[in-house]
Amino acid sequence: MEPILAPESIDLVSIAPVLVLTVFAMGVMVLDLFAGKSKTLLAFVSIVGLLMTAISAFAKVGLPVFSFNDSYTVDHLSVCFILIFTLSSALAILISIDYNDRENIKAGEFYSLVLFCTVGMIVLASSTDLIMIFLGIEIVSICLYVLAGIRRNHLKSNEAALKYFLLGAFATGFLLYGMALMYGATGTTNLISIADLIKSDGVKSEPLLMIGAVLLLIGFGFKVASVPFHMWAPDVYQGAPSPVTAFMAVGPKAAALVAFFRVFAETLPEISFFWETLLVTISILTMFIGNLGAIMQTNIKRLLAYSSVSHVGYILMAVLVKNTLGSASLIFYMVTYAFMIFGVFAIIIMLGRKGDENLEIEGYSGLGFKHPVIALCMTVFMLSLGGLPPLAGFVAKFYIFNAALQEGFLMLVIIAVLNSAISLYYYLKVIVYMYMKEPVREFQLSITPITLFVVALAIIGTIQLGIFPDPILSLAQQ
Amino acid sequence: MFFYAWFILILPLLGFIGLSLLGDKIPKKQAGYAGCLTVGLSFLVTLTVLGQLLGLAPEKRLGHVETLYQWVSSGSFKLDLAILIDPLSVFMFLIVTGVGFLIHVYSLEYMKDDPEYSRFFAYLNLFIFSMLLLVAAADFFFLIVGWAFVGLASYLLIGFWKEKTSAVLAARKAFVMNVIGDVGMVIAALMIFQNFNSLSYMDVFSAAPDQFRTNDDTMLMITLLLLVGAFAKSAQIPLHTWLPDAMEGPTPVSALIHAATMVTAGVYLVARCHVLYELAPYTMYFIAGIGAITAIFAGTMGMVQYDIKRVIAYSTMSQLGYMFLAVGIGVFSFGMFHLMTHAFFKALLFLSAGSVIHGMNGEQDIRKMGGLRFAMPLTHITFLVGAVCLAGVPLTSGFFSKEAIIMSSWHAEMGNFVFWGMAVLAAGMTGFYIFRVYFYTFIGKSRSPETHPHESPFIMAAPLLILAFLSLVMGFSAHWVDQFLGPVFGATAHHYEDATLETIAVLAGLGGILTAGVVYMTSQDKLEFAKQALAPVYDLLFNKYYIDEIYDFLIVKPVRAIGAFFEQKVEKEGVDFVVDEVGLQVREISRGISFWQSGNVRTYALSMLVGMVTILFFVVFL
Repeated sequence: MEPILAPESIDLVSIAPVLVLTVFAMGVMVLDLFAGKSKTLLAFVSIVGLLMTAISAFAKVGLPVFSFNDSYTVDHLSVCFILIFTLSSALAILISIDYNDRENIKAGEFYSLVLFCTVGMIVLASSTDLIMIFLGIEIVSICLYVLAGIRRNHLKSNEAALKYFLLGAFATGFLLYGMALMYGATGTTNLISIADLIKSDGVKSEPLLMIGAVLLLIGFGFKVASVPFHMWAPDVYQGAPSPVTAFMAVGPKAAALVAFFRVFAETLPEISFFWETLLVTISILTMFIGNLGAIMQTNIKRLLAYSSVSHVGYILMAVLVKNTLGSASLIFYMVTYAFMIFGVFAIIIMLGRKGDENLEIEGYSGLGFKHPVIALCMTVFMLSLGGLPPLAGFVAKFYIFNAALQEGFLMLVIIAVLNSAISLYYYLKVIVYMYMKEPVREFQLSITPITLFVVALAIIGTIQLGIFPDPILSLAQQ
Repeated sequence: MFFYAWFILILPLLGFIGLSLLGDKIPKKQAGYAGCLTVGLSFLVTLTVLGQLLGLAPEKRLGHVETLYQWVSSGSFKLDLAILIDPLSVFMFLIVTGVGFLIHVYSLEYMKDDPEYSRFFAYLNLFIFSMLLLVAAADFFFLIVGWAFVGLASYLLIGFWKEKTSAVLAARKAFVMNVIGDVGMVIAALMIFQNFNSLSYMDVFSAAPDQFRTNDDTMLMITLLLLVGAFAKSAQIPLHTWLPDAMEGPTPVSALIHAATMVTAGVYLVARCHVLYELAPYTMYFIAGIGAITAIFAGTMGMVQYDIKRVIAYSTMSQLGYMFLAVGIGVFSFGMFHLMTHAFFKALLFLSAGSVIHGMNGEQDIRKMGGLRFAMPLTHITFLVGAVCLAGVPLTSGFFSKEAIIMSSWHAEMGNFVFWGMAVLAAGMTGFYIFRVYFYTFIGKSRSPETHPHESPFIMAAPLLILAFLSLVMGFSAHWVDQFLGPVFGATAHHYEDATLETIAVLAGLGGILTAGVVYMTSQDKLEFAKQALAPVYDLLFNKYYIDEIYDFLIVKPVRAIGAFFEQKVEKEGVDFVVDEVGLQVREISRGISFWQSGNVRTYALSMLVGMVTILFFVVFL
């Protein structure tokens, strides 16, 4: 009998990032036993691990490479995303150091969970097989369930974790069922084979395939928080600890989007006639619900949750573009989004104090006079999220809209532009509070070098990618 | 060749960055001087550019694109950070930096008691930079960037006195209106890109005539969408309501942004894109029509206001209407000429009004003024100069520029007697409302004896005198401006000679002045009687045709309602509100929505299920 896994396809170098990071994640867990009270050491070991992972992403040359019976790939997209994941996880760890100290989260497992989660993201971004995608999604999700509830004594945190878990399990059901149906229709779980099959013969109009694809769309829709599967996002984002919220908004979401792109834009473009309209509708709804929902929010984390829903609406346009321009704009968008989100959350964490996160936007009143530099940074992030030139958020949006325009989605782009204008309203609201209202209470900023470093890095990223986006853009386009 | 022209933009930008970072560290005075210096230097560079440009043969003055670096490239699409140097952009540079510099100097004194002096100059520099970017852009992209930035600067400056609630509200209103315009522009740019695969002026304007027939649908669409931006920025009907409110900002801001420069951006846009507009004569008629209507409409409202700045604000709208009328009937260089003379005399009027307000310790109601000609002789003279120019008294600059437009509105190819009639009517109103202010303010006896008005110091007077001089003499540069701008528009505009029409127009203006005099002389109780007899009309005018109320009803209220809906219905439980308003069908749906975000996991899961079933239904059955 033929072995299930052809020996020559086992290529450990291609999964070097996964291996490196897994070793580090386990190492951090073990090290926790000897680390004593302060977990800062663990954080730095984790960051070293992430750095090594980023370096090992370049272990393979001559891309794209397929290994493990074509179920795992190292290509331009996956390498770029491994870099984004390691960057965002590193930033998440950096902003959590002080937060964990302050909030008494004595958890060495926090850092190893972040690393394990990153492993899952890498698997997810690199898989070209439905089973691998499922594996990746589950690794990511299980880590996130725990991370969301890591403040064990905090009611909201528990609620967030439980909600996320229950709904996540539900969504996984859809996902798995969809995969099963696709397997039933094509006889394979490998994306490349599925694409070939669709191209060559008549499975195109196979109802089983279509229903499978729709279920997959729903599963992914949940993971990226697109309407109508977004409802968990505001509650979970609000309840989870702030660094975890930032982490969730970038890394895992990016990973799910890559898988989304791989399944729909790369595998199923031939049958786009039925999912394209669907995705356009979802994209439009996501933008509108996200933006309109954000307008009335008074809690900054809830506001950012809705804002992140709306950003997913824009990013889904990249999946619709279906070519390398789409993947490039996806990469660029996620890089800039990572900088903006971590910058904002670093400031949110700075403004909080023990046991009281100071999350009402009203609490930001008058920040502009007391702490002009911090307020200025916040302003830059807000304007960039709103897509004002010359900041990175603008270039990212411009790039994605431009790609969609070249594919002929004029109406969609117009709606997206309209939504960008709506979104300015609530981003500016934060700025108005900072500069045009009197302080409601004393500020107690916990400014530490590490958090400040994250803000500085994010500011540099946000401005630099706005003014000189070309290096990263051409990198994303290769 | 003109690479150094970048300094025109970079200097104010440096000023902005420097002042906003170091503003608190350096002494107040130095901060102000620094702000003036950057704009002054920028003006000098502009003069150099102008000199070099004039040294070239007229046809060689066009299309000098100076690229700083390539900003973005994606596939076939490239975007350079570039500016365009040609007579039109240099003409605008001169106005922006020249008038801008004078207003900076004026602000040194006007704002001297303000605790946030350096912030003010930082914003002013930001504005100058943005405006220069707008007019220097070599493609639609940076045009929109500059466009959005002037909106932002305007927002910051209108709301500069943030303790004043009305100012903050006005700033927000201006911003929202301008964002509406920006969206129109962006959509237009998207369509341009789709059709020409480029955003550069050079590519688009050279390809357009070959690619499109006259009045092609796409062309009409693009030009109209651009116009949404132009009308929002230039306060044309129906996107005008923000301008009078914007007077809540400091007076130099009103002079610089809401009279001389930013509000003229719309006129500049039409002139810049004249190639596209010439392919869409229908749009041109539309522009001319809206311009003429705005000229009258704003004039009527200006006739009954009592706030000195508001009258001048309505006058600005009205004069912008003239400019749109001019570009709408295809005499672009006349429109630009009026833009220039208007920049001078309107800045002069605003600054003189500022001087009055300064002297009256912040009073803006003309009913409380009077007899200021003795207390403020210099301001009196400069205001009078501004007023006669605005009213178009012969041989002043306003006379030459307005006359050219009124004459063309009859004789030009696209002109007709309706446009002409409206233009003349508006000219009459202009004379009336500005001299009504003049009489109230400077003539007669003081109506609030307890205040002791004082003349403004030299540093405020100097810019006034310079502007007064320019307002008086620049009318004679009409021919030169036409020659200079001619190559940009393909041909110089034709000057029509028609003594009869000219006389009628002049008489209209003078008639307005005379009426203002008569009305003023008539004793107050008779005036009250007239006011009551005409009460409905008066109310309509005084309340600005209730446009704000209509907007409130049609747009603001619904938008608020949507917001509240999302807050209360989607976020929290309880559906009563919507239920009562929209029938039984919606009741079921909205009850569903309210369940969704109830925080209850089961309902979240249910909604996912419903979403899935809906999607599956569509895929399977449709």
